Amino acid sequence: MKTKSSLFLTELIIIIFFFFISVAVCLRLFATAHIYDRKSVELNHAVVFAQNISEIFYSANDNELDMITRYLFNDDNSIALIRDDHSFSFYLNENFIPINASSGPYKCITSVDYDTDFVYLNLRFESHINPKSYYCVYEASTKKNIKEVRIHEE
Amino acid sequence: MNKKKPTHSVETIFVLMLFALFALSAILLTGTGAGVYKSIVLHMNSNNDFRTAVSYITNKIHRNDIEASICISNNGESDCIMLIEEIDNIPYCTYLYCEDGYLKEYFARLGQEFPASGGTDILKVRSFHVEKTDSRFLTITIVTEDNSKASFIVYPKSNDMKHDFIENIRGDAP
Repeated sequence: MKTKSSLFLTELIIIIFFFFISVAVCLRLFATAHIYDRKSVELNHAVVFAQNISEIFYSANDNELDMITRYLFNDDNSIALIRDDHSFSFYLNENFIPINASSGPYKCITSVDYDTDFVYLNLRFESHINPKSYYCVYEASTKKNIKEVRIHEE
Repeated sequence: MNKKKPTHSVETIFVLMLFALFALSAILLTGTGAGVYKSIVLHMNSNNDFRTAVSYITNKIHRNDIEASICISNNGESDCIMLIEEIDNIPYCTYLYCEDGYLKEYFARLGQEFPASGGTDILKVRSFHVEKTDSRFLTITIVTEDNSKASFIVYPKSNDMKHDFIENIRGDAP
């Protein structure tokens, strides 16, 4: 009788063990799916935002960064920008709209480089939802020919 | 001598509870899975619709980036982008507009009347709005089928708004 009870208990313990393993695996799968889902939405927003900035970049004959900041922030200088001569960064909300804050869920780092023939626009979008482990959502670089711009100006 | 066999009611209840726990967990798991799948499909469709609209409209405008060839027209509920081109010295127009819940395209000779419902369906959208911003950009706002609203900018290089976008010109925008 004692043997029968302990056998039954062992069987139950094994069942509960497999049950918890299955729950852990399923929850992990759902969590991973949720993360990928969020990443795809982030990527989509970032690509559209990058395309918008690139269109503004193409429209500027010079002072590309001034043009981009002016368009994005409607001449609102109070927007929290970390800026130097060739780059600036700002934060965006969860809908990828620039916000006047020194931190936010997403960060956009924009920089412009020059060489003899081309102007390069470099964009980097970072997710700061978890500030301790931020990651790059999207990175893009685009260029335009300076000669083309000069011809266009003439 | 006729001894009654012990019933082990605790064991029976424990097994039944375990079975109930399994059943409940299976239902919860299926429910959660369905919710996650639904959310993923919704976001995927929304992303897909918006990216298709952005790529399609942007490429259409850039392909037709000739001076005095891009016009916007507003006629009531929906806006219309008119892309004018000449083929064998005859002006033709491509109309991009929203009608009956669809982003549509219609290609016809400029000035020729056309039924707004006669355009080719591109994709389902709830609304389509175009405006010029900063005197050189076209800002296009689309509300997709799942009610998510998003805007994007297009810069027509040739126009550069020296020639302003003509509004409600020749042609019969819907």
